[in-house]
Amino acid sequence: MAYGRYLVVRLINALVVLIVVIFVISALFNKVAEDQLKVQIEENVRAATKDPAFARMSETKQKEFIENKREYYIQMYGLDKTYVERVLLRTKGTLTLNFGKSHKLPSPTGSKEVSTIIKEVLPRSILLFTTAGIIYSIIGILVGLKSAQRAGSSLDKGISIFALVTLSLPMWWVGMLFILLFAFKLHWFPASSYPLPQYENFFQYAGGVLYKMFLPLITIVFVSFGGWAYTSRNLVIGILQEDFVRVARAKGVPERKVIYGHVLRAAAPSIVTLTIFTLLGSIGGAIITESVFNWPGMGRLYWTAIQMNEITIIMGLTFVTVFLYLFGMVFADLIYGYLDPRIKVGVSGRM
Amino acid sequence: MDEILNIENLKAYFFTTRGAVKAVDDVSFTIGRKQSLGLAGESACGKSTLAFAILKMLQNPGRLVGGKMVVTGMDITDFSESKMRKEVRWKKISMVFQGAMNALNPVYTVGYQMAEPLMYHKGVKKEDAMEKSTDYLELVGLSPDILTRYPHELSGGMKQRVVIAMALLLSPDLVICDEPTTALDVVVQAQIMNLLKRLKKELEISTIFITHDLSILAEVVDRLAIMYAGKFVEIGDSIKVYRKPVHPYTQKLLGAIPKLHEDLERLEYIPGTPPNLIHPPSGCRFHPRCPYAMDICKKEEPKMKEVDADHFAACHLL
Amino acid sequence: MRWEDTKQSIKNFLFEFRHQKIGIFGVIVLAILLITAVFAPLIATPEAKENWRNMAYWDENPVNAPPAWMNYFTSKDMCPHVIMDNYEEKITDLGGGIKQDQLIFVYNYKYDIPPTDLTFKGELVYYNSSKPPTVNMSILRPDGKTIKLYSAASKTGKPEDDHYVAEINVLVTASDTAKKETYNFGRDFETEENLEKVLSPDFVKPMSVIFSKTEPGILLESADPLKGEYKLLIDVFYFDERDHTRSAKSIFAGKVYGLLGTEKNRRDLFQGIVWGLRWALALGLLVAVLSVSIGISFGITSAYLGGWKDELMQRFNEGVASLPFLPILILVAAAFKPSIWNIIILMSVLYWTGTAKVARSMGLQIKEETYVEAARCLGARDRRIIIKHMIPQVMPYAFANMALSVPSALLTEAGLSFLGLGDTTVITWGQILYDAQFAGATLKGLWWWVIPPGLAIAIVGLTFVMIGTALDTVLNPKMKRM
Ligand SMILES: Nc1ncnc2c1ncn2[C@@H]1O[C@H](COP(=O)(O)OP(=O)(O)OP(=O)(O)O)[C@@H](O)[C@H]1O
Ligand code: SF4
Ligand SMILES: [Mg+2]
Repeated sequence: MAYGRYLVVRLINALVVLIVVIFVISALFNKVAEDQLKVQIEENVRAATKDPAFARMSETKQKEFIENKREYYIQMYGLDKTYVERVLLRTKGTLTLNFGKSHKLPSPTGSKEVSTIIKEVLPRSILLFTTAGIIYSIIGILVGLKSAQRAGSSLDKGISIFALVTLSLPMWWVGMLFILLFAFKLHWFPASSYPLPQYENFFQYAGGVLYKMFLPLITIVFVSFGGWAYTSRNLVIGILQEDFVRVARAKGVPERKVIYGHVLRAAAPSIVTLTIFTLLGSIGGAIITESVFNWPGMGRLYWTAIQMNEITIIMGLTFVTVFLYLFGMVFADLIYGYLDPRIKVGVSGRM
Repeated sequence: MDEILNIENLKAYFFTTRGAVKAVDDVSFTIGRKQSLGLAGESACGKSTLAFAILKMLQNPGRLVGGKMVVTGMDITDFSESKMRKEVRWKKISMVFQGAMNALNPVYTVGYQMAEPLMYHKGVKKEDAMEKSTDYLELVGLSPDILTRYPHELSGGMKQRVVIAMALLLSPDLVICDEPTTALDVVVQAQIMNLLKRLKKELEISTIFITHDLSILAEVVDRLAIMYAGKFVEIGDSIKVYRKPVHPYTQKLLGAIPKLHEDLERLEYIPGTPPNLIHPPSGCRFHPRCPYAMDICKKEEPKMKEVDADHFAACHLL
Repeated sequence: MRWEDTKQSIKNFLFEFRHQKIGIFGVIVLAILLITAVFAPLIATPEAKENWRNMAYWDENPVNAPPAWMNYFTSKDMCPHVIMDNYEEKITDLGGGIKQDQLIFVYNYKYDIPPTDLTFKGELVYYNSSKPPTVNMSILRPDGKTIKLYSAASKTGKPEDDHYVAEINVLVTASDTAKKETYNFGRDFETEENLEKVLSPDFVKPMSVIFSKTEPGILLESADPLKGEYKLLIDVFYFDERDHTRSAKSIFAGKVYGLLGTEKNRRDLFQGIVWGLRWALALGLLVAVLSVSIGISFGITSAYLGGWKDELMQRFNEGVASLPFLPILILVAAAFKPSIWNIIILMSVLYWTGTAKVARSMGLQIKEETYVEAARCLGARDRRIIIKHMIPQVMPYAFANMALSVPSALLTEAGLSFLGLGDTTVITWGQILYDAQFAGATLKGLWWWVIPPGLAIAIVGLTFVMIGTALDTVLNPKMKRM
């Protein structure tokens, strides 16, 4: 089946890109990450000297002990290998989610393992992004449909202008404005989403999370839905001019069914995939937005890691975003193929 | 002979930013039961617009600005959109669209799209509707198993047959075929034409046949209408119009076809440019290109005159 | 293309473009922005740019002061920022080698909300190293009452030639004397009830007492303001006749400041916004021009070469296109702390893929057209064919695309700066927002620190979007856009 084969090709493509990117990143940042490792080793060695046995040793023994320890750690972290080997090792490590340890920053549960730290924050980012994505794509599609149906009306013009304006707004800045307005001025919502509420019962917890998530959520929705409505509008306008829509009308299909049946169904493959693309495209802005609101997801981790110069964490985060991005695209293709019976090539292949 | 369609002084304009495009301007004609009318004219003279105007389905910014339309004795001029949908479209008048390649929604199966008119007009269940569709598929020479297929899995000719079957589904009184064979290759064109000829004999329907292939028209249609710049210039018994055209434009049009089976592209060879429909020429709209143009032609619009039994034309020469 | 054709097509283009209201508006705004950027040294001060990160430069400004025009919107008048270096000087010989140097600054107070602080600055020049001068500071109110604000011997000065220079910098809000004295002053006019609320002199706001009427509430910031002429009296006692005061000035720190206010580090935000514009325009335009040039060249070359080379180039394009740019830029920036120029180059080498894709498909079309074939037959070299025939045809698209890619470049740089990864040797709006975020400006309601930089980013971005969409509709009427 052509679709299955196509998907496999896309998947392999994504994998290849992923491996190449990780390799390049590893090669580029090996040096920086190693400097941190060296500091780490020195700290480990110093910690070892705290051992009471160490104090009792003679001076030459102490020196020897330190040397041995250092050697041990150098070997453990693989710093004794050649550059190429080290880069390959790091590539392999990254691909197996073995990002190494952070320098100072621990995870909330106290782990310094970068993969653990990221694992703890990732679900929260996904929660925020997907909720926002679902909300703004639904609003966007409905608004886009309406303005496509009334192309040229003042609603349509308004939406287009709104889309152009939001296109040039930094999402995180809108977040700051919302804090000024809704948190500082009106006191409706908390300015900081951190810390998230404790688990009492599910509904209380969900309510609490929603309350704290509200501002970042409406920020993402506000900035994204205009552009999205505009995209859907153009898509729908294109489809509305198709002959099959006229045929459906001529056949006596009720207008509501024409729009929500024929038009929307025909637009669905593109709409769904483009939603995923838009969502992926907004990851960058949303990451920064998170840190504005202190939403304890990847964005806030990014912010802290940058402030504390935690290169290993930043590398880990970069890997995770690249990964999400690449496989999000494959997923988009998968959905496209599922929704469009004609499919042999996905949207990403055609764009 | 009872009248299926009676059109009087129909006007359909497109109100664009540059001005009103008078795509159909003061057109009158009637079609009787089992009768078929051929409609020919240069590209952009308003043929498709006329077809859509009859269904009251003009695309924006098109509007019906005048005239009267009676379908099987029913005056539909003031019918509302929903009344048109429930009582006229597809039930009384169905249409085979120009460029049927795109007439099928790519994301629905052929079966579903065929079933739709039955579902919405007769309240038939989807399964039963599919069942009924098979009869019509057989009628147009297709096997029923394509019901579950998607449009892109069919050839152009098959799609065209599906579209024709779909148009016949509710046994309408009138089927408008808007260039049903363009975009098909010659062999398939011939097959479709034969199919249409056969159907015309077998079924009790009237047809309006819009085509670029004037040569075929004579064989298929009973009457022939020639349109120029939004107006009918000649209409009548097809043999008469074809053999003895009286309007200079019709003569040019037929003269421009040296052999059979050469398509209307040739019409581009008529000297002069097609008229601007926003500011059409005064008097007879053909006068800038007419070799016989006289002074009066620029000033006064010629009226339809009967030149023979069932043969009318609008020209000051007559 | 021949010159005549070019002239004609430019004429046609201008004719069409004139009907694009949005585009015209965009061009006008862009012109204003460009003029502002070019004349930035006249509109703002070049020293401000040089000293943007030198906080000492700004220490005469008020902290977190909203813009001066706020007064039009509030019922209570807030005093603006006043720096005074004109004063009256009275020198009195007190005998015994002691000399009193009195400086009188006249301040006309006609507002409802008092200055946030009162500073006296100056250099005291003295010759006898063992006898540094003594400074007293007091204020004479319009009602004739005087409040003592400061009194101390100056610190030992720095030697300079044959004398010493003691720098003096008195802040009333930081002076214990002022606290005590204003408390004592106000106590006499307070009710018992109010006095109970004031637990100690530490609770008193000296500036508020100084500028309030002598009535109950004076200690609680609830008395009416006392408007009129105030005299700030600085008495310096010198012990050598050659001693004197120089570069003296007093600062009545405003509640409001300038066009756009100040931030936590006292920097004038107006300066930041004006100087930031230069980099915003430079960065946006450079990235747009570079990335679009790369994209066009790549796409056209790919289309021209065809075959496996084309295939390979396309795979490469897809690979780059499938990367999330911001995270990668963040990583690079965090690890290497690149300069703004490197950031520009980096963005350019990432942002060309979309253009390349369209340029390639356009190139393929053009390639089919006969004259390229003809040129090839005549033996013209590959590069010449591409440049002479293909690129001119793709140019219109390129211009529209350039305009449209400015906003994303701006947003990316702003994002990097906002994370604290920008080039700190230049002023960008993203960095101002980073400072604002870092100082918790949103939580303190310092809107004048938060709104203008973001608005500026949006305006520049929108200007190019407007021009870009207008260009797009004029130049590529048939281009199908998603
Ligand atoms: N939606 C529309 N908006 C504006 N003008 C239109 C629209 N549809 C058609 N027209 C104009 O109406 C005139 C008649 O068009 P129509 O499609 O009826 O021509 P036609 O005779 O069917 O041509 P063809 O043989 O090419 O199909 C043309 O001048 C066309 O430009
Ligand atoms: S009316 Fe005049 S112009 Fe028109 S067709 Fe007849 S002769 Fe020609
Ligand atoms: Mg037509």
